[in-house]
Amino acid sequence: MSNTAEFPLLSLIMFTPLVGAVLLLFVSKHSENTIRWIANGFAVLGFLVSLPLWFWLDQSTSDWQFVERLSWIPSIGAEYFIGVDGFSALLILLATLMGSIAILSSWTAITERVKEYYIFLLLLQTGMIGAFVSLDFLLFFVFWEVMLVPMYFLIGIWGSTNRLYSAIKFFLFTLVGSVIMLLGILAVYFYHHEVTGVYTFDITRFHELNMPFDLQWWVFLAFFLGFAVKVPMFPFHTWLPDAHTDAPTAGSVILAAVLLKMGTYGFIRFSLPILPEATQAFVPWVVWLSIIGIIYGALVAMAQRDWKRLVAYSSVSHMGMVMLGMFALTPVGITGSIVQQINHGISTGGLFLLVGVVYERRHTREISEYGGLSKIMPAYAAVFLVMTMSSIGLPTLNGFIGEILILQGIFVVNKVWAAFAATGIVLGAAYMLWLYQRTMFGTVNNPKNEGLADLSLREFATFTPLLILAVWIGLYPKPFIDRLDTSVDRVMARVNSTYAPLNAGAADEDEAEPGGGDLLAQIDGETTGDGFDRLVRLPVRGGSR
Amino acid sequence: MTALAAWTCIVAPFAGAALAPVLSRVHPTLRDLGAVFSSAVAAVAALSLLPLLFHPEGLPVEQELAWLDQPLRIGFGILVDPLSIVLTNVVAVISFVIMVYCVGYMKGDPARTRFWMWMNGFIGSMLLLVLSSNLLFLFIGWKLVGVCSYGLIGFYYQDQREYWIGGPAPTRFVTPSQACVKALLVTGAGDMLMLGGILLVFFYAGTLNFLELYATAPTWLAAMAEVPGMVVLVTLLLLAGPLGKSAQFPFHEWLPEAMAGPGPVSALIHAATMVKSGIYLVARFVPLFYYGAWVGGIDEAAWFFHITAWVGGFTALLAATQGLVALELKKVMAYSTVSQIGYMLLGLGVAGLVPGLLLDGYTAGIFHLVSHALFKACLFLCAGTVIHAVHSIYMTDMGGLRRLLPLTWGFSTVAALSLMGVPPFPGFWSKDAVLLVAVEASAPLFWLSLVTASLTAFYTVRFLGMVFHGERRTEAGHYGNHANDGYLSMRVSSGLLAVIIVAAGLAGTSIEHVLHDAFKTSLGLPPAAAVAGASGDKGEHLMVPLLSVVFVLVGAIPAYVLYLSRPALVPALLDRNRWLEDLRQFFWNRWGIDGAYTRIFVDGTIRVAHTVAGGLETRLDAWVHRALPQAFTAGAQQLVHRLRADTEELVYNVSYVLVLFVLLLAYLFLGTDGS
Repeated sequence: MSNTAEFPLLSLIMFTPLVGAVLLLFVSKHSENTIRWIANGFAVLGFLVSLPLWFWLDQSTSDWQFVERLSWIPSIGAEYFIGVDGFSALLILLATLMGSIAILSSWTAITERVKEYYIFLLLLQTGMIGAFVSLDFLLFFVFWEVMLVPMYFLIGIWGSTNRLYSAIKFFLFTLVGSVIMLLGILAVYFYHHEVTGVYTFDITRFHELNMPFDLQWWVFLAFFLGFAVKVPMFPFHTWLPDAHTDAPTAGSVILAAVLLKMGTYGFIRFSLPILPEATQAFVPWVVWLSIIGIIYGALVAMAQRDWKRLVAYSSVSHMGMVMLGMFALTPVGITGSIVQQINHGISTGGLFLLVGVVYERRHTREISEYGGLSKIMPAYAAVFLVMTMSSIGLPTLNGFIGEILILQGIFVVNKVWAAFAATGIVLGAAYMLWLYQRTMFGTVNNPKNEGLADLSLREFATFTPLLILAVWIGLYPKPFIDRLDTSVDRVMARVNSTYAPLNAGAADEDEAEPGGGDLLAQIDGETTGDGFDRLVRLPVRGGSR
Repeated sequence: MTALAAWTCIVAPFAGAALAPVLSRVHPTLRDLGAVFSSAVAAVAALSLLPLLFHPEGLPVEQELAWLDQPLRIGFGILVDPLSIVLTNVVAVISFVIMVYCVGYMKGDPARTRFWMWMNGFIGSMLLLVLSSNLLFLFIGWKLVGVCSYGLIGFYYQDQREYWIGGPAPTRFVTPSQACVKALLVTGAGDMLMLGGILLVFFYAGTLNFLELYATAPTWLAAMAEVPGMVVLVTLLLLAGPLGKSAQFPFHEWLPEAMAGPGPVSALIHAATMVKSGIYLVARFVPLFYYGAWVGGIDEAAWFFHITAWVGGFTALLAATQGLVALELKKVMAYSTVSQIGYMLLGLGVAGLVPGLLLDGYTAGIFHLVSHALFKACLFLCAGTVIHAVHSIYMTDMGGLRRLLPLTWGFSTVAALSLMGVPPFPGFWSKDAVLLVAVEASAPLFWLSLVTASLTAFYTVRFLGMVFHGERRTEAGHYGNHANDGYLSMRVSSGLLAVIIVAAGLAGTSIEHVLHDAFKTSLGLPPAAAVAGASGDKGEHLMVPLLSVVFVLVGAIPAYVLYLSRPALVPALLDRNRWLEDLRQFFWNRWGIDGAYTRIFVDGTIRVAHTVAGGLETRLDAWVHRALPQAFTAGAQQLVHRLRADTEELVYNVSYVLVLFVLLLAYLFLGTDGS
């Protein structure tokens, strides 16, 4: 099932930021530049050590890779069990990259309590990476909770006007969700013991578990509350606009780019494969909540007067797309959903960075305070244009491929759903272009804007990787999508075994037996057909017969 | 060799766009030359494909690379067939001429680097659109030209007063930044519908490659037809994109405002090339639906032709009436463009209304596309020169310019005669071709297009009269005797187009014959669709050109009287006849369509957005975060208190967290007994 790593790569990736944080403890809080250099150094180092995940990942195997397994709390069967597949590897790379960018972006923005600030940011990195690598459900939960604390302080201390309110809102909301999720985890844990007599939190074993439908239903609900708050799905999104708006730039960037992905990651890693039947039962509910989220988020974004709040609500809309693609429960939809998670990290992370740049200069986020910035900050306007276009899904930039995969994935299941999603995309274009028009175009009416400096070299450096990635994924998404193949197959093998989206009568010929059976055999069976056959098999034959 | 030329067409302009900022560091002149050079490379590569039109046996040539293998298989490639050769040449050659014009027109503009980047980006995207071998990359090029158009309409994004379009007061003014957003959103809505159509085709056909779509048409069209209404749905969705891009009813309202961009941009994008991409796509689908309707026996497929023909015919009339009353020179051209594209759509639509017209209708539509691209580009370049000289967009500020701008006057007249459809200019031949198929397919459509021909003649003579003839209105305009034909590059390029127009006119129907023969081979692609042989008797065909000339005169003579010989008559006429003034108002307000769209889609959406944000979201927030917690005990309040982070001893809090963290890790590893 798993390839045990000879070299503890994942631990190295996970603990590099923590080492930086501990090191910072011994630096005087007055030598602020030293602190900055150390924090940036460890963040970049964290990214560099995570690069092997890109190069060394074996795309052909469905096994877990870079696995490390040590006993942790033997009395309850919890282990230090970590490993990755293509999906989590990409999210880890996203986390390490966005983390270094966020840390670099704070150089001049944070001037108070610099030491604590960077310690928290580095701790947050470790927490996020830990959650993505955990193959032990309890370990995952620990990291999941650990992430909350630094984020809470980042918003509460270095945030803007309403920071305490927003920080507490964020903390309580997520906490309530995760406590309910813990109940779900325990239910699976005890059920597993009941069936097999083994106490374990091993996710790979949970993936082979066939729970009775009633239990699945309740556990799905518990997981759903935990993950949906994080995504966030309508109507659990109310913490997000406040948290985003009041967080410091780096906090918003990490929150949008990585923390929200924790929710969608949870769905794909846990809810879908552990609870396949319940997942299918919940499809209409989740889908309609996602659709409401897409359109609702877009409409609310359109009405915002606050630049950052607008981007925050656009996140609600975009994450609705991600959820919609996922709950198409087709290979194309889930692939699109994952690709779009990465794209959302790039483009929304970039948009928050961009708001941060002008906020640092003008200390206001009111859209009406700006106007005509293209003239004063041409480089800024160019980067903003690329990020806007990426966010609204212009082909040759990253957003398009995710959108089209999601649309195709959802389309074969239900055309009405796809129509709603498309409406959301059009609305998305409307509010983003309108924002761009109001801030970048026109004459400079506000004298305060006249002397604004264009992007500094450091600021430009924070955008460069995002621009490169946006164009790369846009022009040639194949390397990313190929890495996801086996991860998607793993989920599909569980979820789709009893689920024929288009037409319940048209069962797939070369499908493994429904139910559990030998998971490996199922996965192998899935991977032997090439990708195209898998797609065509679902819709076309079902439709034409 | 053929494939290489096609790839060069796509790559060269993009390379030019990427090089512009680099070259501008070296020297501004080098940057300008580099931009023009890269479009010249594309033009030469396109011309090298032209001989293939005479030997269509070797076509189509296709070359495709794998772009995605999974979860969908999609290639990235080029398809060279007669249709794409014609379009490639129209795009590449006219772009090159216009790029030359830009060297003079944009002289002194501080943002020329940006201008060249957008222009070359546009040319590359447009060539990608017409050369792509599959629908997905066509769609990618399609979206990219839209964005380049956005960037160029909004080129004067600072919205200085002189670049406003619309008016004069009390009519609303539109700034370039509003115009570009409008254009991108309206076409974007059409694109999204079209994407739905593409996905539906993919769903049934399992491929997006054109040749495969043609080859497997019998299978997937039949599968599609099994679901009642599906073919109609696909038709409607697929047509939404072209109607948006080509500014046809009901998506036509963005084009008039798109005139806010620089003159040559309007010539290139909003007259000669981008707005033709809709026609190109419809032409790509014509054989498929023709096959479905007349060979496959799918009745619903005929909808495709009914919709295209009637939308085309109606839009041609609708836009022509608006051109009758417009006061801005470029807006007259814009309405005229919309109207003429209606003709092309009409030609393609009637191709499938009755069996046997496929080849003639198809050829007529594409032939009109080519001739329109030539004369409308020339007209727009001349309009650019006029506006450049006069510093006003209103024709009421012009007049008598034929003495100051003699060359521009000459070129405009040549192009305008072609637009009117006066023999022997190419506009006559191509419009005649459209009329010839229309008369066989549908009498109402035929008469509709004849009436439109009259209106076209009227507004063409009107703008010629208002701009070049009559008295100089120096008191209103800001121009003196220094107004002239502009820079050398401007004269040369508009002159070159005028020469091509004359040459094409003298060539007469032989161009049509070449297209006819080339398409004859390529339209044979779907098996059995070649049933479409040449149509039978040509008995009434002499009547058609005669009627068309008569209708041109019916429009041209009153316009000559009103705007050339006795201009004072116009206000008198409108004064005396109330209904004429009402009609003028109706046309001036664009049949009320623009206003209604603004109220419904713009104001309506914003109102809904504010209702949702102000009503729902605020209440939801208050309910979740105030009403609900208050329902809990005060314990929660206490917890909130404990979690407050604004104390001075925050550093201690930090160390708590760290201590917790380290303890956790310690536990993690101490508990580990290396099993």
